[in-house]
Amino acid sequence: MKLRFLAILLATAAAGCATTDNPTRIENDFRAIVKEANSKVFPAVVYIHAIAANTESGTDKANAVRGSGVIISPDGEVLTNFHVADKASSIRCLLNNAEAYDAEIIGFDKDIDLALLQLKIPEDNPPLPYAEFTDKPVQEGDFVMAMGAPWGLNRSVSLGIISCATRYLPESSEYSLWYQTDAAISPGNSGGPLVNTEGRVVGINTLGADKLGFAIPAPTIKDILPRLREYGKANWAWLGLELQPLNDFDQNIYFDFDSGVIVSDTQQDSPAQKAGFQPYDRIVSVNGQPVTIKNSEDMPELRRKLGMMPFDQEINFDVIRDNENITITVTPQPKGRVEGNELILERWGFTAKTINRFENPFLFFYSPNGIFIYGIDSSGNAAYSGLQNGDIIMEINHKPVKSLDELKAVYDDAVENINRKSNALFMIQRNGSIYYVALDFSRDTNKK
Amino acid sequence: MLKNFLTVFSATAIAVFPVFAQDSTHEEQKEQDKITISTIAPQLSSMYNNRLVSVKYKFKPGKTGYKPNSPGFFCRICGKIHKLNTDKLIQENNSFFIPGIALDDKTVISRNLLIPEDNIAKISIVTADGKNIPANITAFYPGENAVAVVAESSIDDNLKPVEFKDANENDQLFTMFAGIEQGKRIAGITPFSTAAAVKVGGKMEYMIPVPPLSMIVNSDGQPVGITIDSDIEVDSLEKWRHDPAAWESISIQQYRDNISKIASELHDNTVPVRIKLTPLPKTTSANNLWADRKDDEIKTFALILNSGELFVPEMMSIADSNRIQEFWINYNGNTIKAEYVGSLKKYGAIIIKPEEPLQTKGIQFNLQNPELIEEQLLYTVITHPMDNRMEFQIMPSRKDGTVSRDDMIYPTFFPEEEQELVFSADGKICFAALNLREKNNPGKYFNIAANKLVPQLNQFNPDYAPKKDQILAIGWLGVQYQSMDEELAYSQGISHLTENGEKGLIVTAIMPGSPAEKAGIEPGDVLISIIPDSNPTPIELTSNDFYTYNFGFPWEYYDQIPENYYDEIPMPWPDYNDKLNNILSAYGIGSGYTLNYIRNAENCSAQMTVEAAPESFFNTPRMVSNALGITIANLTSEVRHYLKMADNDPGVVIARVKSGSKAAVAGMKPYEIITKVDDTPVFSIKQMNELCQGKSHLKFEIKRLNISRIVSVKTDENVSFKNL
Repeated sequence: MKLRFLAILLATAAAGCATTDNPTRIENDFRAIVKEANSKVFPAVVYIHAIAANTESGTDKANAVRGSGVIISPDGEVLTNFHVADKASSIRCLLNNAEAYDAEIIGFDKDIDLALLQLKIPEDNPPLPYAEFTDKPVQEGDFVMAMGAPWGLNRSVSLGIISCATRYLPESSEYSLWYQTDAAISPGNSGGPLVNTEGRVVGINTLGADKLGFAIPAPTIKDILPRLREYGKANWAWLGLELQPLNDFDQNIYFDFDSGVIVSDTQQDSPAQKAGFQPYDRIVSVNGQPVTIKNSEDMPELRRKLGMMPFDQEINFDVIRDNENITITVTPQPKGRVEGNELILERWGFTAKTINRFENPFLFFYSPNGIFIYGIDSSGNAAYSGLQNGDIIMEINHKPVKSLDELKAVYDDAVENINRKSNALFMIQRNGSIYYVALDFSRDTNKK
Repeated sequence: MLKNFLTVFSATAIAVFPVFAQDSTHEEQKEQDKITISTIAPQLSSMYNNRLVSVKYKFKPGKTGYKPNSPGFFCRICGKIHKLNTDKLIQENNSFFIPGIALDDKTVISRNLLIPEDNIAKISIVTADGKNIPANITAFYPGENAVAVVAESSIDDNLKPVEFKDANENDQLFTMFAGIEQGKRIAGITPFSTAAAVKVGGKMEYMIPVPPLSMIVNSDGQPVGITIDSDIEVDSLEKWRHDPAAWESISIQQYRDNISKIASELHDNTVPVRIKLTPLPKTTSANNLWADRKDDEIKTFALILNSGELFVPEMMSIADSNRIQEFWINYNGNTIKAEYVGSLKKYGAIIIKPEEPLQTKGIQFNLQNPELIEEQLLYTVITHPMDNRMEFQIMPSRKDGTVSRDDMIYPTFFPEEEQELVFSADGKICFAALNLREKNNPGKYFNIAANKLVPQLNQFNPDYAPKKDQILAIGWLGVQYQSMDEELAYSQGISHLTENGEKGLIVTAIMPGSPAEKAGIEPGDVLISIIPDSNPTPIELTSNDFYTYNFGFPWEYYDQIPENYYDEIPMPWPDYNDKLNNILSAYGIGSGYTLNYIRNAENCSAQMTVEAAPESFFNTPRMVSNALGITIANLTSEVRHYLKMADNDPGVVIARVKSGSKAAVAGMKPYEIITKVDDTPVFSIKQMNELCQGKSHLKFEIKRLNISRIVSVKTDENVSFKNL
């Protein structure tokens, strides 16, 4: 309450009204609050320097990635973004007291973009300062501070408010909403904490542009953190249900129901499909608990809830199909890998990757078991020959190539015999059509 | 002496000849007995200046609004060709000046601008001292391309009739000329010699370049001739040596009579014709249809032949000819049906026969040797078929060159825009501009002489006949292909067989049940050429002509495409209406051909027959609903193949989504599949119509590749689909 009172007064002062008796006192109070909050979390903020393979460039050149993190336990657990720690061969963390430690990845989830690190501190090290998550609900207008290392400038704090507490970004996460803030979040802030005036962490800063910053909300993190500790991953349960909300303003779609959620499709060979779910089924309750998804903002929470169901337990869905109540029972499966393996073929100038149904649904449609070109070295041989990202490799020199192992064998053979033959005929599938591409790899792109 | 040729003198004001500049060849002048320009010029200029006048033309739009162009003339003074664009001159209210030579105090000889009288508002003679005297064209000299312009009053009373002398072989000659350049009179004089002749082309003809529209005088100052063009043929010196009075001429009255005779022949012997074609299916494909004509009606005209049949000079491809359904003519306001008789073997023209005989003797053809006719003043006719009558533009015309094709030489005429028929003065057709039936070069017209055309009027090509029972059949080979390039050829070791990758199409996929599958063609084979049985000339499948773009389809980014680009998204599945199939379609279903291809770096060939392609997305019927804003089509085999759908899977294709429509707002996109309407699986557009009929709130299950969603649409009015 005190904070709100101050906020209103501050706004008045800022508008230049001199009616307040003693503006200085009020400003001092707010400054004190910010300072106090800052002092609680600031010592727990770390500056992260990771060396990560950049497979998207089709070479094994490593990139230096700079980001932020926050210590969440006295023995050195650090939370940061998955995209900060992704493919890192080494992670170094600089603490606020100028001590530096290496860190290793304990667990991560790509969808939510969260990674849990463990600092490699000496056993007799005194407990580290750490930050705590807030228990209180976050609302629009709450003052928040983003801490971290924007553009690599560590020990930075910026101030703003929560612009939207329930932002749905369908391209960015299927399991989580976002807090939107106007506190400046720049590259390098990634993984740093978003802190309220009580000095509690409300989220992990993840995305940002101009006055639009987005942070992973604390409730999502608190849901997922024990699973990262236990399994090293979110370990989502997979049902294979495609769901649609009752209302969609953008597409002007309104189903005439007050409750439930619409099943739009089931994924191929999924537990939901095997259990008999059909498009246009309306789920009204899950394990007896009523479900209503009015808008797409409500969707991530349900998906997260379903995704965290135990694998060995049946889930009972009450479903209305053609005005009849039916019950469908599904036993979820582990979602498994959400990303394919990668293989860098430096002489050819590209990175190949296995097709994963979750990561590449369209490629999966064309070729469920296959490999595709994931990254291209823009100055490499593949780029010069016209191969493109997303090309599914079907054949090389008229021989089918379906796996990274087979590709590796063909590649090694080709590079070994480069003096005899320095080109390869690729049959690729590009967006559903077959093309041939001759890859000339006589040029050694490493030689300048 | 030759090097002196370009010595030009000029002045900047309307005046007598200027003070002549120095003779640039003065130092080289060795032969004392030769007379130099600088010695003779003042004398010549005082003698001839007043004879060198200009003819000033003002133009107006013709009766039908027509504003012709003219080749104009080559200007000796500025060294450029002054082309004549009456449209521009009329807009800018400007006059056109062309030099002329006064033979006496009224008669001026100038060049024929080939502008119809209809377009000439006013002619006047501009004298050397700047006076404007109204004048009229009185005669044409077709052989010289000249006109006689006679002033209404005397130009200069001192001008006596010119008496031309014969020039001797060894005479030293001079040409004198004057003109108006940007409102100022400029004049010049140059020496001229028969020794300046240059060989022209491959023929043993010699031309002497001369300033056009100039007076030629000898060193005694005596006139020996005038020039009209910018060169003189050496073996025909008499063309300029003699008095223009000896030139063959056509009086203006004769010219007008000729035009009215032609007009009356045209009026009696031409009719508007409508050719009704089988309508093409509507398609969302951005590709060209294999038929060239997009409309289902052609408005053209016909000449009535003395046999009672009609000659329709209209070029149509085999595919379009096959689409012909009916001919209708309009004769004296009556609409009469006509029957197809035949299409000419060599030229793009059709013979039809009206169901009722027409009361006229028919158009006449001038069967003289075309070389004799070409040098005459001719009349080009541009036809304008109206609904129930014909309109014509008759313009004076002249041969301006030749083109050769297939060992034949065809004349070209001015004017050449939209030129259709060329008449001689006797009201007979002497040339008809027709399209040669060449498969690889359609659209090019040649002027066929009447004596060559008439014997062919009963020689027909059955391929170009209407085929009422076999409409819109697309032939197919049933392959998807990709054009070859240098790297692809090299990597397969077939550079030597493909001209370094410039020839050849790599087969990337074989359609099930296709002729290619039956012939054992496999992906990876390289198609090289097609030789139709009826014609031993192979069609080379070159990378250039059959270039393919390897884009694929942007499914990954499909939601980012703005609505207003929907119509421009090419279809994701293979288009049977591709260039290779178009060639086969043009041969006709059932015709045989040899397909040459490369497999394992060896030449192979297969004997093939053109088969009709199965119905495909491109030509399957469509239905449209305005309430929803979508066009739908049945799932055809190639679409099912692309989408990995079984033959009995439900679905109709969204062929088009109108931007801003209810469907577009609801996120429906082209090439997505509607699998269910209100929980009922939908298998055809007909069933879709039945399921949607009369409803204003519909629920669709929409599938994009492998991902479905439910779309619910409320419309302002009840939904119904109409056939497209």
